[in-house]
Amino acid sequence: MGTRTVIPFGPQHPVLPEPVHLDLVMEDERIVDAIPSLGYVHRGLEKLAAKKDFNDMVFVSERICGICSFIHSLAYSTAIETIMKVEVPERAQYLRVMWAEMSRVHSHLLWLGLAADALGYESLFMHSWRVREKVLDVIEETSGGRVIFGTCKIGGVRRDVEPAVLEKTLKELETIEFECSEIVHVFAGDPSVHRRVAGVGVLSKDDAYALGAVGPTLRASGVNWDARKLGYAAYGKLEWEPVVETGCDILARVLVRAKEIFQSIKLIRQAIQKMPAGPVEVRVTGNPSGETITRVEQPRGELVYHIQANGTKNLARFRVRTPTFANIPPLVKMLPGCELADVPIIVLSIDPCISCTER
Amino acid sequence: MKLGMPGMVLRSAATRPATRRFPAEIRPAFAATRGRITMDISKCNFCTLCQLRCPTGAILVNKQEKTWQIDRMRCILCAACVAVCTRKCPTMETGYAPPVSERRESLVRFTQAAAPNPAGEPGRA
Repeated sequence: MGTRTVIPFGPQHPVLPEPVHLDLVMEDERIVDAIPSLGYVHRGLEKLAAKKDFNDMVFVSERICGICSFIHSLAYSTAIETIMKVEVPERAQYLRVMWAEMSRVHSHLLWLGLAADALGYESLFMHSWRVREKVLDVIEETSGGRVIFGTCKIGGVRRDVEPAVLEKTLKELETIEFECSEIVHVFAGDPSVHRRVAGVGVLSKDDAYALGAVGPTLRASGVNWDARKLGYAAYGKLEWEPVVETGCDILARVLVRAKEIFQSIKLIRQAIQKMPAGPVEVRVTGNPSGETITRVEQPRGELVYHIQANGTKNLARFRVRTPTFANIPPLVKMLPGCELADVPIIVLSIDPCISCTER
Repeated sequence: MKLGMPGMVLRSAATRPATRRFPAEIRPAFAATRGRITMDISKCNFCTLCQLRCPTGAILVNKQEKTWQIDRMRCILCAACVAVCTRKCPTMETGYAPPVSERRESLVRFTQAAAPNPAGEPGRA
């Protein structure tokens, strides 16, 4: 056994979009152990929930994450609606699916770009983000914001989308789908991408299940589970199947996310085509009283909201378990045995969102 | 036909850039874009409902002085004030608020019976 060295990785590191710290225990160039530490961007969300009106918390929960923003507000609204037994109009359910899937497309394109950048593939990074910009335009045209949608509320959605805009969105989606297929073709077929990521960061199916991996990290290890199958919003009324890969490595995670882009585009298309006419919100009066756990699928994995309400306008408890938090134990499992140079791309492969994790 | 990376790079080299030459060429805003809040102060009865509903406390209403003030740096463009107003005084504009270099410049005050719009706040349409 050689001498062991500890290399601190993060919280500031060129490849990390957000601050996470890892102490890498090394034997020569090989990693023996990785010890994560978090807590650089804690924002005290639970305390804030005890002071803010539960209606205003929609805006706060949407800002937990700057990328899966809409899905946070969807989870929060769904949780409060469950407690208050509010029946959300059907059109609002479909609009929620449409916006949630749009944020998934933009998140996955963002991640593909970041992954390409971590591989040193600059031109692929630029092209991924070029297409992402078109998705952001569609989001802005339908919701009014580029990353913060601001459209979800307790009891429905705050904004209806005109049929003409929906028609235009469908047309725009065709262009986006074609351009995504070009990018995914590179990710799936380019030998330089394959040599860099195939067989790196392996997480076996049993480990993924036992350590509680979620989202694309779980599905890339061959476990068929997607929280959207729970059928919240209008997902139960749409036809789709979770994307599962059995490679267990980073290439499999790239492919899961790449294929989910097309799956999301198909879901948006279905949601727009099946969207009934009618109201988009119901009036919600009174304060919530009760407790619930809501699970929804974010681009990064399964998000859990635990809300306890005591009949006042402030919530008693507000706990958010974000997907990155669940994916850190699998990440620590993936690292031992790999080379130091592989660490950035392995950390990136779980699509870490540290600000979400620390809330 | 899917080109692969060399083809995509060559196509990019031969076509116009995907970006715009920003100040010279501005993308027209979408009708739904949340740019900034503006106020029709002549209709306002200073009920302070917007101030109460504002999640960030960006709005300050003064009934005595008949002023309505918004802190653009605090405003998160959620349009809660637009939704709550019974007289439809605050509205959402598509143009963004111009950049400011000091915090106090972000305070925009509307006064009733005086000039309906504050001078010196030009914005992009």
